[in-house]
Amino acid sequence: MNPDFNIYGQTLNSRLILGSALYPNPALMQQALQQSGCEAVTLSLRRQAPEQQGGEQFWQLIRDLKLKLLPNTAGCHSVQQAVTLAQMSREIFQTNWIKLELIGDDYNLQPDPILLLQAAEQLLADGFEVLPYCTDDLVLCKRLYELGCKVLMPWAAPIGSGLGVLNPYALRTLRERLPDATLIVDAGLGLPSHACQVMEMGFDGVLLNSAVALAKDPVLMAQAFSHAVAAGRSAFLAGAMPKQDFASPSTPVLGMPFWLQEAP
Amino acid sequence: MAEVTDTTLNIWLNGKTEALTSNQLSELLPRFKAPFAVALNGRFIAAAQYPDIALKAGDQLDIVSPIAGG
Repeated sequence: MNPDFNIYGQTLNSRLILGSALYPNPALMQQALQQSGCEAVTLSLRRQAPEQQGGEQFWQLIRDLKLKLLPNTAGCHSVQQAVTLAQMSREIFQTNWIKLELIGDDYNLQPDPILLLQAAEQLLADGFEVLPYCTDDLVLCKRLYELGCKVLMPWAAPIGSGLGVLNPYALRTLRERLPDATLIVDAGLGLPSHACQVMEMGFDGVLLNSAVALAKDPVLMAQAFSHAVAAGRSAFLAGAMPKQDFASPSTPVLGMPFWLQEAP
Repeated sequence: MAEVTDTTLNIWLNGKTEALTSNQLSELLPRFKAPFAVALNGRFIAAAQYPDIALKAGDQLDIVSPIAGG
């Protein structure tokens, strides 16, 4: 397992990455990002509409935070769309990082595993540092890792669902089978306890957006997730006790009063 | 440098039809606020290439800027 939280050679002190979307207003976004302690934020590109105000304000706020930028290819349905959007992102954001999203189904926004592999291969060859948003499928993740994706971002549940970990077996297996990959659980987390759960499993980090942005108090929820991620990491490092199906008294039995030795 | 023409040119600009009086990409761009990036017919155009791009009728031009994302 990785002792540091390392994304393609860059060490981050916080294992929490937040998105920048869906906040009630830009000021709350800024406060939530600051209070979470996160050092990287996701963002995207869309067609510029000069008649719509706010785009410049968003960009200024993000720049003022001086966070590492992780642009995504959200909404792309083809390899060409994803590759082009990644290239546009690299020029604007001046980073080789790309959160590669390639959607295969519009109902649950499930990543398309086949197109994801094709796009990842092209982008890696073009010098990108690819962070694919993928399902928890072990073989897909192995293939992505073998291609050269040092960081993988399997889902816990569909984007924005807040359902938490739907398949803990699959995530545990990923961690077990890909011990040297940097694994960040991305999408589907709704509560800090969900984040803590995956960090306890040994995941390297957590990426989320809706759970913080759609909370009644996004700033407080950002802090809660920060604590949960740190707690889960500490628990993983500490090593959990083994489970058993029967009770074991924690208070010593020896010396218990009121007990009489059986008469000889 | 690409050739300049005086004829009106209809292209797709950010998904909407647009009638241009110049075929020069670089003459269209000042109306957009930095930072932005450009794709022509679904392919990325690096900023260094802008002066060399002559638009053709029916071209699809996308000009994008940062927005919030998850």
